[in-house]
Parts: sequence; C-alpha cells; structure tokens
Amino acid sequence: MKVLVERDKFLSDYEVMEHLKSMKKEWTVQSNEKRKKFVNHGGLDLEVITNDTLKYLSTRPCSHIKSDNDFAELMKYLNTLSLVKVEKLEIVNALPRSMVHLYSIIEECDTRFESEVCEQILEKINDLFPIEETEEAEEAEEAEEQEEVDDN
Amino acid sequence: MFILSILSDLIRIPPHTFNVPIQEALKNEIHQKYSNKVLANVGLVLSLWDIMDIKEGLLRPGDGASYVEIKFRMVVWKPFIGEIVEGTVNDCTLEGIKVKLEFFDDIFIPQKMLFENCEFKGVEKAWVWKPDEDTELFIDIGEKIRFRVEEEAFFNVKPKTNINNEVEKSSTPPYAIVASCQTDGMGCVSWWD
Repeated sequence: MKVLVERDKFLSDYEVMEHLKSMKKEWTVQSNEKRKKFVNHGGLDLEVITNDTLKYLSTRPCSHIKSDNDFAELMKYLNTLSLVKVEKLEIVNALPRSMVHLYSIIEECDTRFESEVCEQILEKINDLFPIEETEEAEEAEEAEEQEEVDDN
Repeated sequence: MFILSILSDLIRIPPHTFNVPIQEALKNEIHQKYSNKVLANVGLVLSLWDIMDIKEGLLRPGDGASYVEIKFRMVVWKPFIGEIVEGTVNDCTLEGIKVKLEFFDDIFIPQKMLFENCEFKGVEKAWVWKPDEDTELFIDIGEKIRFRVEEEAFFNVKPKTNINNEVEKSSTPPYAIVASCQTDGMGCVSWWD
C-alpha cells in the first residue's frame, strides 16, 4: 500500500452523509434482490463505521440541509466574503446560529468583519435552513424533563 | 472533518468473485481491508470514494487469484489543528475530560487545557467552570461539548503475536487527539445558546 496524497480534498459533512446514504441504499437493494445468495458488500467493519458515522451526522447541523440547491446558495454567499477555504467549510459544517459560535470558527472575526456582516451570515443560515419550531420545543421540553429527573 | 486521500495498492481478487464486475469486486476487497481502520499519518478510514485507475491484473504461480494494482480515493476522518468539533463527554477524571464521537472515542482534554478557574468535583464526577464568583457551570458525563483540536498522535500498534499468552494488552490507541476548551464558545453547547 502506498499513500500518494494524504489530503487531496476536503469534504463537507453533507457530502459524506449523502455518500454513505447512497452506499447503504445500494446494499439494501442488492440484498433484497439476491436474498437467497450470499451477499458480501464489504464486511462488518464497513457496516459498523457507516452506521456509526451516519448516527453521528444525523445529530449534526448538516442533517438540516434539505437540498443541494440550498447548500450551493450558502456557498455562493460565503464566496462573496473574504473567508479562507477552511473557514467556509467549517461554517457549512457547523451552521452557526449564534455570534459566539461564529466568532469561535472565524479567526479574529471582530477585526476582519463588521458586526453587520456577521449578523447577515447568521441570518442567511437561518433563512436557508430553518430549525423547525416543534422540534426545538420538544427538545427544550425533554431537556426540562431531564433536569427534573436529575433534580429528583 | 472528512477528507479524501489518494492511495494505491495491489489488491488480490479471489477467484470466486471473478463472476462479478471488477469494480464491484475491488470495492468489496478495499472495504474489507481498509474500513474502520486507522492509517498512520492519514487518519481513520471510512469507505471508498471512487476508483481512479485500474491496471491490468497479474497472476502469481500457485495462486488462482488475480492481483490488480489500483489507484483509489478513500473518505478519511482527520480533524485539522484548530478545528472546532462537537462531541459527547464520555468520562471526567482528575486528569481531564474524555470525549467521544459516535465513531471515534480517543479524544482527551487535559486539565491544563480547560478554562481557568476550573475545578474537579470527585463526588459528582464532573468538572465545574466558575466564570465568576457566583456562577457554577457543570460539565457532566453525557453532555454535548464543543472543543478545539490541538494535537494529534499516531501510534504503531503491534499485531497480537500470541493469542494464548495475553500478557501485554497495550491500551494506547492507534490514533488519539488532544483538545482544548479555553476560549469563548467552547465547553458545553447548551451554555452558549
């Protein structure tokens, strides 16, 4: 085995998620077709890592991205700002909703960008990938319940 | 953060897979060999992304299989230094906090890389951050935590030579990450919402 290029390209969480999902779909189709035959789709390790990673990604903000178009639009917007490639990638992966979070991702954010620009970024993210109210409310409720349990 | 790495390898295609298309057979072999493994200085390998080049197969006397040299790209998980990652607190000890992701467990935040005015409470098994006199913020086990990647380390894990003689069971993971939690926005995700 030879490693030719250690870091050829960066991938966003969204791309990885789509890739793994399509791979998993392939197996399910295959195993349905040849139910009786021995199906080999890459071993247990592949299944374990795929399921674990998908589980992780489903808790990440990238699960809020509904279509490729929205994703592309956010990228187009970010390209108009003077951000480093890695910072753009981190924004796309983390989809920050608060100032603190955005500041932690962008280095020296306060000197490089006006606060209006930062607010615009957050607004854009909220516009494109709105968090559903019900979901949030449920989560809050759950958290409260959890706290009550903890208190008891 | 996920990346693509270009690798090349000589893959053995066993005779019983000669009836399936070569791309499929190679895909399976690559997945069996690389998935869920750590490659030194590359990272944790997830799955194949695409095959870039397939050379002609070679035969070896005394073996029915064909050997094919290929060039391919793998999806690899490897955070870069300075990246902000979110994970779940797995364990709190006096030395620091252990963090895990669903697919990767060996992340450690040492005590000296936590916020100033941090204190370990042995009774509750939790770290407490005191940003000022009256406030106490707990970092409990199972909580979502945001941290910055500071260091990464690869270890060469030797294969188990003797299964019956289980004397040395090395606990060093092949790939470990040291992280920090010192600036605004870090720590429990719920604090900053």
